[in-house]
Amino acid sequence: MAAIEFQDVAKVYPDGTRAVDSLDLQIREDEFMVFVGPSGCGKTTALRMVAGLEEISEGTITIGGRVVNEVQSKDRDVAMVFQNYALYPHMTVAQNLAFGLKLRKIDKSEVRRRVAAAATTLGLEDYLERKPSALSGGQRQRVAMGRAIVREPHAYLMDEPLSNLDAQLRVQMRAEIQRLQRELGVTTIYVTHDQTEAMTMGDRIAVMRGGTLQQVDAPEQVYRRPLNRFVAGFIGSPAMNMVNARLTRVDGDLTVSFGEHSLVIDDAVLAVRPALRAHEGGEVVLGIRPEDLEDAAFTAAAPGRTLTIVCTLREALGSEVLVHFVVEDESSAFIARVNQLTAARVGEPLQLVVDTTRLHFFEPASGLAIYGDVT
Amino acid sequence: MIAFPGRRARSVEGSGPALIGPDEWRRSRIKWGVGGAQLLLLVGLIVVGLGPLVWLAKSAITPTNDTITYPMALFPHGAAWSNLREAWTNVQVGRYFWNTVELAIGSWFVQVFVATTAGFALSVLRPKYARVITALLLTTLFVPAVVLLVPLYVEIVHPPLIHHSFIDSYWAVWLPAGASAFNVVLVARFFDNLPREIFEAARIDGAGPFRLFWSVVLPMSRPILGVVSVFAVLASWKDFLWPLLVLTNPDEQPLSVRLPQIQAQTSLGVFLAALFIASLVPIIGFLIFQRSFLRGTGLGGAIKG
Amino acid sequence: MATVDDPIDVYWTDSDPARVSGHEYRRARRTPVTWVRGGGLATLIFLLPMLFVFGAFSWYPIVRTVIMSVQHTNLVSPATWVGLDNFRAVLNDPLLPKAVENTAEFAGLALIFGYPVPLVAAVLMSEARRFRGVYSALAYLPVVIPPVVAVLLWKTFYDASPTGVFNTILGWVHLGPYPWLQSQQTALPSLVLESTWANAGGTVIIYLAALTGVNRELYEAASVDGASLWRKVWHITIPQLRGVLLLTMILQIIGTAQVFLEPYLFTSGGPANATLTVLLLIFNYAFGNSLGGDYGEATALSLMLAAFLAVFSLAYLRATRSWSTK
Repeated sequence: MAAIEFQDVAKVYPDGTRAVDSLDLQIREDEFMVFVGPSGCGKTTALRMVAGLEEISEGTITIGGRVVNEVQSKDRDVAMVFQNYALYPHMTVAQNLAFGLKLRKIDKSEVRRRVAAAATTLGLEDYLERKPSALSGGQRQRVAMGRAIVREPHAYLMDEPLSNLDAQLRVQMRAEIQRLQRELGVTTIYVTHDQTEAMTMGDRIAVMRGGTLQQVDAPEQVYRRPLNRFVAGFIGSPAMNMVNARLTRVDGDLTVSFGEHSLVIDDAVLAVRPALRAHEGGEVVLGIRPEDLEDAAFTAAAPGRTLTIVCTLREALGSEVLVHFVVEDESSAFIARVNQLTAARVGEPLQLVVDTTRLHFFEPASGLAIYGDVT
Repeated sequence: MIAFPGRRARSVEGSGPALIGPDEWRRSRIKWGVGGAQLLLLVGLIVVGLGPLVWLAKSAITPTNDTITYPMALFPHGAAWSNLREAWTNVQVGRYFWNTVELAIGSWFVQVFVATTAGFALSVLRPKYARVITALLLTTLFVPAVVLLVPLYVEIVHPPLIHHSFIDSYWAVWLPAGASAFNVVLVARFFDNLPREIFEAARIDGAGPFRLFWSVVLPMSRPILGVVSVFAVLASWKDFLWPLLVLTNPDEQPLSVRLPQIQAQTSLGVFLAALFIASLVPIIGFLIFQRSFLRGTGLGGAIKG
Repeated sequence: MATVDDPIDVYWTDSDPARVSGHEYRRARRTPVTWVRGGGLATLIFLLPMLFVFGAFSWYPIVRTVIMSVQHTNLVSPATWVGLDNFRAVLNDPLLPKAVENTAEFAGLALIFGYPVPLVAAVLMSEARRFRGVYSALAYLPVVIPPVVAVLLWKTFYDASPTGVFNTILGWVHLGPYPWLQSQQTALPSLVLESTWANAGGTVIIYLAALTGVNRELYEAASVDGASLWRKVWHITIPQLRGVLLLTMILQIIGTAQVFLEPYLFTSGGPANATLTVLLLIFNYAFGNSLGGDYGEATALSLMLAAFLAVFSLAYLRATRSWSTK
C-alpha cells in the first residue's frame, strides 16, 4: 500500500487553466519524494492538494489507504513546512511548537515531551522562550520544521523551505533535513525548483512541467535516462547541450553529424537505444552533457570522437573550467566542463573528446528520448 | 511617547523632509525665509493651539471674580484650587465624569467586537457574498449622519418588535456606536495584509475559525486595535447630540450633555474647572497614545502589521 | 466535534471546484449540511454582530427616513401617509432660505479659513528637521478637545463686554471691543473661527501624511534640473497631493454643511436666526420646543439635504475628474 497516492488528479481553475493534469503517482512509505520543476509547473499545487489547502478538481488522493478528497486538513495527519515559515509571531518558539498539539487535546506532559524532543533534535533548546522576530532565518526554518516534527504525522509536506535562506545556510540545512528524515523515517514530499536540491536529497524525484508529470525515478536514473528533452535539459547543471543532427552510416559505422562535426555512435549506446537504428538516414536531436566533454590534452584521444572547436567564452570556476563554443550557428551554443588546467583560450581552437557511450538522442517532433525498449 | 520639546522628534510617518534639499538649506535666503516661517508657525501653533487650553487650566483655578475682571492676569489674588473640588462634588462633575467613562467603555467594546468579527469574516473567511456585504457597508459611509438621526430616535423610543422604550438606557448609546463602516473597513484592510500562510499553517495545525480568530488573528492585530480603540473612546467622549436625545435623566448623562446645562447655575470659576476636568482624559490620552492617533488619521499611512 | 469524514473547508481556498469530467469519483453534493460543515455557518456567526448592528442602526433607519418623510408620525397613534405634504411644508417655511444661506456662508467661510492654511502649515512642518512631533501634537491638540468643551470655552472668550478675553487682548492693540456672538454680522464668522480652530488640526495631519508619501526622488530630480522652491511646490507637491486635496475639500464641505453643535450651543440659531443652519432647523422640527415633534418635516428636510449633498458630490467628482487621475 502506498503511503500517498495520486490517481488521475487534476486541478482546474474557473477560467479553465489546468494547473495539474492527470497526475498519477505512488509515494512509498518512508520515501523522500521530491517534486521538482520550473515555476508554474504545478508542483506546489499538487503538494497543497495533499495538504488540503487546495480543492481537488478531479481524481483522488489517498493517504495511508484512505481517500482524503473530502477530509479536512487537520484530519489528514500531515504536517506542512511553508516557504516563508508561517510562524505565529506573537507566540514563543515553545508555544509555536505546542499549538497544533494543544488543539488536538494532547495531554500536557506529552506535549512537553514532544516539544523538548523536537527542540533537542533541531538544536532549539536555547530559543524556546524567544519570539520569531528574535530569531535568524535559519532558526526560524528549524522552528517551522519543529512544528511539523512534534505532530508526529503520517507525512511531511515541505514547500520550498530553503529558498529564503542564503547559499551557505541552504547547503547546511539540506544535509540536516536529509539526516532528520532518515532518522525519523517519515514519508516526505519536498517541493523545490532547484534541481541540485532535488538530485541530492530525493530517494526519487518527480519532474513536472506545465501541470504534467514528466518522469519519476531515482535521481541517477533521471540523470542517465531522461525520458524527454525537457527532463534532460532540466536535470544537470550546466544544462545538457542539444543540437539538431542527422544519422548516417559512414564506413559501416552509424554516425551522427551536426554542423561540421560528426561522431561515431558507440555500440554501448545502441545497446541502450535499439530504436535508434530506425532513425538511420533521418533527423534526430543529439544531446551531450557538458561533463561528457573533455579537453583532448587530458584524456585518450580517439578517432570519430573528437570535436575541434573554437572557444568563445571561458569561465573558470576553480575546480573546473567551462568552455563555451558554437557548433553550427549562434543558436547552438555548447558548454563543455573541462579540466581546470586546460590551455583553452578565447578565440583559439581546442580539441574536445566526447564520451560517446553517453550520447542522448531525442525525436525531433515529440521531444521523446529514443530508447526502444518497452518500459 | 509623550512629546515634550527637546525630545528627539519622532517623524509622523516614514521618510524625512524631502522638498528642501540640504544644499538649499545652506542658501541663506531659504534658511531665513523658510526657517523664519517655520518659527512663526511654531509660535503660532503654541499660541493658537495651546493658548486657549493653557488659559482654561489657569482659569480653572482662578477665583471667578478675577477671571471676570482680569481675564488675562495671572493669579492676581492667588489660586483657587477649591474650584476643582467644588466642580467635582457639588456640581457633580465627578458623577458625570464616570457616566462618560461608562459610556466610553461600552461603546469601545461594541465597536471593537463588531469591527473585528466582521473584518475577520470578510477578510479571512471570505465568503462568496463578501462583495455584497462590503458594498452595503460602503454605502453607509456615503450617507450623511443627519439622515439617521430622526428614525434612529423614533426606533429607540418605539423599537419595532420589542414593546419597550430604550430611552435612558446606555444600550441606546452603545449599540448604534458599533455601526461604523470606517472601523470595519480599517480592520478588514489590516487583516488583508496579514500573511495568508499563517492562516494555512493554523488550519493544518487543526484550528477551526473560532480558534483562528481568538488565538492567531486577534493577537496579531494589536496595532490596528490600538487605532480603533483610541478613536472609539475619543468619539464617545466627544459625543453630544445623540446622548442629549436618548438620555433624559440628568443623573445618567455624560459630561458633554450636562456641561451646557449647568452653566447657568454655576459660577464661572467652577464652571471652567468643570470644563478643564472634562478635557483632561482626551488630552492625557492623546499625549500618551499620540502614535495611534496620528497613524490612524493619516489616511492610508503605512500601517505595518 | 468535527469527524474524520467532514467535507473540506470551502471558504479558505481561493479556488472553485470544477465540474467533474466523467470520472469515477464524485464530489459530495452541496447540501445545507455540507454548507454548515464547510464553515459557512461559522462565517455567518462572525457576521452576525455586524449584520445586527448595521441592520438595526444603519440600514433600517435609512429606509425609515424615506418612509417617514411621506408620513405624519406622532408617537401615540400609527403613522398616516401624507404624500409630499412634508416636503411642501418645508419648502414653504420662511426659515428655510435663511438656514440655507447661513449654512452656505458657514461652509464657504470655513473653506476659506480652514482649507489653505492647514496645507501651508503641513508643508512647513514636513520640512522641519526637528520638533516634528511637537508640531503635530500642537496642531492636533484642539481636535482632541471635546467639541462641547471647546464651544463653551470659546463662548467665554467671545464675551462681548470689554473684559471678555478676546476683547481684552484686542484692547491691547487698541481694537474692539466687538460684539462677537451678539451681532448678526459677526455671529456666524465667530462660529466659523472656533470651528476652524477645532478641526484644522485633523486636516494638517492628513496633509502631513500625504506629504511624506511624495517620492523624494521627484524633488531631487527637480533640484538637479534647477527648479526653485516655489516651482517645486507648484509642480510637484500640489499635483502629487491632488487626490488628498480634492478629498479633503469635498469632505470638509459635506461636514460643514451639517454643522449643528456650534449654532446650537453658541447662539441657539440667533441672534435673529443669523446662525440658523439646516441641521439646526431639522433639529428644531423634530425636537425643538416650539415646533418639535414633527418628524415628517424633519426627515423630509434631511432627505433634501442628503440629496443635495449627493448631487453636489457627483458634480464635484465629475468636475474634478480631469484634475484627479486615479
